[in-house]
Amino acid sequence: MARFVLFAKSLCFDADQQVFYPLNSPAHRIALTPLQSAVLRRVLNAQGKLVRNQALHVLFQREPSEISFAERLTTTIVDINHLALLAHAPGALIHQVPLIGCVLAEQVDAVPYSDSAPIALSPETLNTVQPNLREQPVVIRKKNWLLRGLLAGILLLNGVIAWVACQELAPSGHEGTHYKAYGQEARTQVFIAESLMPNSFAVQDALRRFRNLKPHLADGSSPSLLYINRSRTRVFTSTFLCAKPMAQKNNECMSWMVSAQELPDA
Amino acid sequence: MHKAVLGMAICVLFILPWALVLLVRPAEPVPEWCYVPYRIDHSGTSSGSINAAVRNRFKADGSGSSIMMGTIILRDKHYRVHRVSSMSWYRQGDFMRINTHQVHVMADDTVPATLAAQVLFTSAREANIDYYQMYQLPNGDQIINYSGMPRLYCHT
Repeated sequence: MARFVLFAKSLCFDADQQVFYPLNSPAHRIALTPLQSAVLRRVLNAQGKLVRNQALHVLFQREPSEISFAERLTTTIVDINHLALLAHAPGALIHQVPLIGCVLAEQVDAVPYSDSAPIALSPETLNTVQPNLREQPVVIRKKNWLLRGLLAGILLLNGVIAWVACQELAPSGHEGTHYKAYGQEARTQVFIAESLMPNSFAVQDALRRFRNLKPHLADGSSPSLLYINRSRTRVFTSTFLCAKPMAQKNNECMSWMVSAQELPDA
Repeated sequence: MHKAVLGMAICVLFILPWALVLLVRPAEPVPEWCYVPYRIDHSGTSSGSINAAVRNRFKADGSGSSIMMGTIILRDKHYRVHRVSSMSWYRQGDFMRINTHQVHVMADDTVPATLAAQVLFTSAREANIDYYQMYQLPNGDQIINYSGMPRLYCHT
């Protein structure tokens, strides 16, 4: 039940049936389109305050058309005022403020009306019922967009964290699997791990130990290739001695680890 | 109905990246046979050296065995190492967990128990759990890392 009496109880607008009729002649009904009815109801609910074009645009989106919104709005307001005149209204119902919005004409004096209640409702009732009718659709739509944006952000963040975890859990390069050439040490060709600097302590210490200890392969021969790895402490040297290049199969590589009872400086 | 479908879609979108992380992640292969020769030279007051090799077998059912053979020279004394271990293994990403259940000391093994506890690899110690990383080289062999350091070369 949504009816309003307008112009000092002379005109009635029935929002449910979408008609105008004079209160003293209920049979004389002027029909409105659903869009006209929705616009008028929106303006009436604003209680004389300006209804901005953005708010009205939502109503027009329900009935898509190739005509521009501004043109449709002007036509609709003119039509509503014209239909009201047909129902014996003493003047225009809605004034349009170009580019801004619409407002109810001052003399309209709109009052909600029902069959069971007295026509003149108390101001308290107006304040509790009408704001809900006016604001609810707009507020819900705003919340939806906010929630959607928040949800999309969380899902995106979740995806990014998963991608980072993927990179961390499955590293593509491993220490000790890639080497670069260093030089020659007697008859031994020396390679160092790609992450090592040629003048780093790990490399120089490994070479010193190699010169001093002169390691040999399992068959007693001198290794022709030496691969120096990263070493985290001075206690250990991590190297591989090989007879053939490490990249090939059956390279006769063996691990040569040196523990020299050295302790790192405090 | 509409809300239920939407909720389901959001749940799927939330779980999908993590499912992909686990499923798409390349598994490091584990060779059935792994032959690891190694040499440790020790200088100082108790100078000596270990020249040995470990031959591991990782069966597909998670069980395996390990044979250690070689020599230990300590203060001019020579010892022979020959031990066979039974173990179980578990692979998680790059990491291997080896649980050595039993160690059989062969008849020709001459290493005293106290010395063995000090100098032998942990794979030759009973009831020992060992963790290391294992990376495959382009030629199919493996590099074994302990604590982030490449320490052993495994011939497959």
